[in-house]
Amino acid sequence: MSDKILEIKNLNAGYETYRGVSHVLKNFNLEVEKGEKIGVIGESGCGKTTTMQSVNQILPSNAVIKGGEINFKGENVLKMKEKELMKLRKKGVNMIPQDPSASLNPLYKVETQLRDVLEISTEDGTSYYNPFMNLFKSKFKNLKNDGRKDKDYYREKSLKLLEDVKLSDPERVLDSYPFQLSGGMKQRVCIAMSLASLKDLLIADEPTTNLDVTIQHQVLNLIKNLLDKENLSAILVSQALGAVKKFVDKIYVVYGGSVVEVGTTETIFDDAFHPYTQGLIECMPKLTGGGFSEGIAGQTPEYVNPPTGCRFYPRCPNSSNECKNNTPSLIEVEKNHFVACEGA
Amino acid sequence: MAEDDLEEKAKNIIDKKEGLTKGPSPLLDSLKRRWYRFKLNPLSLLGLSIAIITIFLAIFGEHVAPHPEHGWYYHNYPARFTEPFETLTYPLGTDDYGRCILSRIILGFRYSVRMAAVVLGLTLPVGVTSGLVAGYHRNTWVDTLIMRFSDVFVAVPPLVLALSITGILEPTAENAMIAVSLGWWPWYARITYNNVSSLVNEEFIKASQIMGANKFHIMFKNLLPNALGPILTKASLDVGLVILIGASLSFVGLGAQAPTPDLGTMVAAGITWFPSRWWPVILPSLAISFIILGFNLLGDGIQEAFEEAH
Amino acid sequence: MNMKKYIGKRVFWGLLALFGLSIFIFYLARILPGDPVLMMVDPRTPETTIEQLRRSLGLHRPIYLQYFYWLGDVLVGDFGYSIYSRQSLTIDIKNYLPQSLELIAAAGLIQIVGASFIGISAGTNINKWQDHLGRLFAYVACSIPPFVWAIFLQFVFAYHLGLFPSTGALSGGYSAPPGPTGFITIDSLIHGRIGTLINYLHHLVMPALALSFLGMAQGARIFRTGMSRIKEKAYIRMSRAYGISKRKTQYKYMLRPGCIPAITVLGMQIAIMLGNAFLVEWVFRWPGFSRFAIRALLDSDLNAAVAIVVIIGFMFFVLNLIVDIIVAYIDPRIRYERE
Repeated sequence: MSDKILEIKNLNAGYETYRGVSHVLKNFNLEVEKGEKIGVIGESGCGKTTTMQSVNQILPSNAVIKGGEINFKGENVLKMKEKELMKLRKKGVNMIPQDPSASLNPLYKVETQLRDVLEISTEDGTSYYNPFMNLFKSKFKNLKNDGRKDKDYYREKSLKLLEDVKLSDPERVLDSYPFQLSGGMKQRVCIAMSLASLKDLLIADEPTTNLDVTIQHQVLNLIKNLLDKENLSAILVSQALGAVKKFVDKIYVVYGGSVVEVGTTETIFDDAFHPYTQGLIECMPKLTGGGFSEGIAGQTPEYVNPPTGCRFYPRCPNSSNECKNNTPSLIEVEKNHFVACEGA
Repeated sequence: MAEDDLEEKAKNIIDKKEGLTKGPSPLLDSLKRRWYRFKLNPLSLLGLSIAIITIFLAIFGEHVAPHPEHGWYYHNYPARFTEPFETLTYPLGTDDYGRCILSRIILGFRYSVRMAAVVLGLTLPVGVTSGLVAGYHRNTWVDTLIMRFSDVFVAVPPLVLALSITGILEPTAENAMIAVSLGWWPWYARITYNNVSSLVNEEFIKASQIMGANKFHIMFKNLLPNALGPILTKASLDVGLVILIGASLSFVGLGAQAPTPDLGTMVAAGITWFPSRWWPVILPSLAISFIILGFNLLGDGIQEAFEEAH
Repeated sequence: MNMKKYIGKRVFWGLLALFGLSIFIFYLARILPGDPVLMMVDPRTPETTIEQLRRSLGLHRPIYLQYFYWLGDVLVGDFGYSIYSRQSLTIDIKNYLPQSLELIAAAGLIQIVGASFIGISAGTNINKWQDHLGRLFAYVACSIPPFVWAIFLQFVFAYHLGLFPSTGALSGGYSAPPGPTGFITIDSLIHGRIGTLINYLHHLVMPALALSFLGMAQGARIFRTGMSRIKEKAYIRMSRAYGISKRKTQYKYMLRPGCIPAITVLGMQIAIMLGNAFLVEWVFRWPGFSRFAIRALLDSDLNAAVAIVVIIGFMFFVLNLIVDIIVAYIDPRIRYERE
């Protein structure tokens, strides 16, 4: 029984909207062990980001968690107080955000933001931030005896980080404001910010959407090597199945707020059981020819009044009446291969 | 078919937070959304009720007030300065002419509402149209001409402009309304312009132009709806503001003149006897504040309802 | 595009607009029916004297020429003759303007401090008591017109409680120091008349408060909305995700974007105070420029009307410029986007 870094048990969550409360995540279950890298795939709107933001509790204020547990190293995140959450975010969970344009503060240069993240990674415990003292101290440099290093030290480190993520001309990037950078550059800055300190779990929410394929590989390899060195875990949320394949050991397939299939990378790609997974794999254009697939017919489920039973039912080619009424749960069909489907 | 799916998915991404798929009718949907957000704050509903009461009194004042004839040249000196809450004939007391204060206040609502209605009724069309024309012809001489011309009228705060214009012309309620409108329309031009000028280069405008739609069609049908939100928000907040300015003007004597039962004028008239006889001053002041509070709450609610969550 | 060019553009267009306004007001004042000269003199004055007066005032010239003469005079500081006060307007302005400026400055200061304090604490503690109290105050304060506030303050604190003097700037027994600047605060310090200063400040409190409430309320609301919206933004939530403390996030990362709408609004409010000062000065009989202006306007003193507009317009222009500069400094996007 190796120690689990993260364990999400029966998470039910949604958002308050004008139509009522939406029920996005339904009995969501996920586990990450130490050193493991797992992938989470699924279409837009299926609840991937919601889950990830629940882990380090940065959900927007109209989010509602209805039930379940999120255990990080055995402690329930949902019950943590502010101080403990701070510790979790500083040492435990790292995040690469999904939308880099929205995730960088538009009014501060990259250098400032990167420096603050680096500072956090070198501090211990929670320090009290007093803006007046900082102003005071910055005028009298010799009073800075609390272990804070000066700007140049951080600048050097920042430059190195930016080089690592393959940004050409890191000096310019460092001195720019976010709106002066392209989407891909911003994404790499975000990745750099998360690599500033290596924590137990890295959550990467679609970190490669804006990058060219070559850069994608390089960056992912960089991350993988860094993580492997210290035996750290990661969750890679992505739609780019190709990238996921090379990076992760285990894959969770999510549809409509629940996990529908879990398996190792080979199993999912070669031997998927769930009709949704099969459809997804089908959709990937293959080098061997055969043209493009038809896609999966239908729409994403409605979350405010979700259908009872299996949420994939309306689109499933193999469905039966049972599927409509009973919500399938994950059953182990083979070793380490779980599927939530009646028809399996 | 595939494009529709993609559009579905796109809209799903946008609606993801609200957990919806594309609704039946986008307009109805957005109105429903707005109403939900509006209702969210009970204060907005309070503001709406106050606004409705105000408008009702403005229209039907004469039928509600107990002594409507006191609104003009009336005097009943033996009854002057009766205290409020003492008699039933004069529930809020009388002023220095013996006129019933309650009736005059009720009649006074009309003048406040009229001020807002006239000013906004003038400034909105003029301002918005100017903004549209200027925005459509962005970066041409038309743009510069209109916007710089409007700048002239915002070179001073609106109250100051209104005071001086009313002072130069004769101080009447009508002149006050004209004066305020002059200082007010540029704001609408500006807000329309800001929201529209960035869209002029977008694809859908170019498409309209290619299809041969005439300028007015483009401006009003295509550009205007995008600016409508901020315009309406500002208009709803402005009602309270204009009423405030109107009351201030008449308070100083540069608006409606006595014996008009304008709330500001009433306060000014009562000041001579203040503070020993407090009610001719305090009661109309409370009435003004009541109206302004209502419209401010309403405006706030509308603002929250139209706020895009981005 | 850097700051200088941005400022340059603003200054140019702002002054141009001011000129335009002066032309408009000037024409309005001059094309009215009615003879200003006749208003100034005794009706029994012989026709020749009236003609002489008219010539000396330059009223025989066509209007556009009159404007240029007037403009020339204004640029050297001569605003003409005031019918109301029967003396040169420039003297009136020198006498009254400093007091108005002191009032506005005091009110502005109170406004900024009050608005930021109330607004920020409300915005960062939504739905807790700070928020409810702050919003209550804001609603009340901005629905009550400044003159009502003035009356109310006067009624309660001066008349009933006797804590503050109800009118004027200085009590009897104190006189304005003959100082160089005309600003009582500065002059009394220069002359070492601390008693005068204290008495003056004592008189200043209530008008300044009354003047500031409206702007304070608006400012607080904007701060609150701004801060609460910023709190939801992805980049703020991300900075928490990186482990940055709540306090640091608030002070460093939320304040800047949250300030921007607030600064614009506060600047606007201070400018609006330029207008509302009229009312407050009127109620408190504060010997300021605005009160003088109203009396002149009620007397249809056209020269004064034009002068008022121009002077206040200029102050407004300067104020807006300062606000724009501050905003451009804080938000780099404004500077760069103006290309």
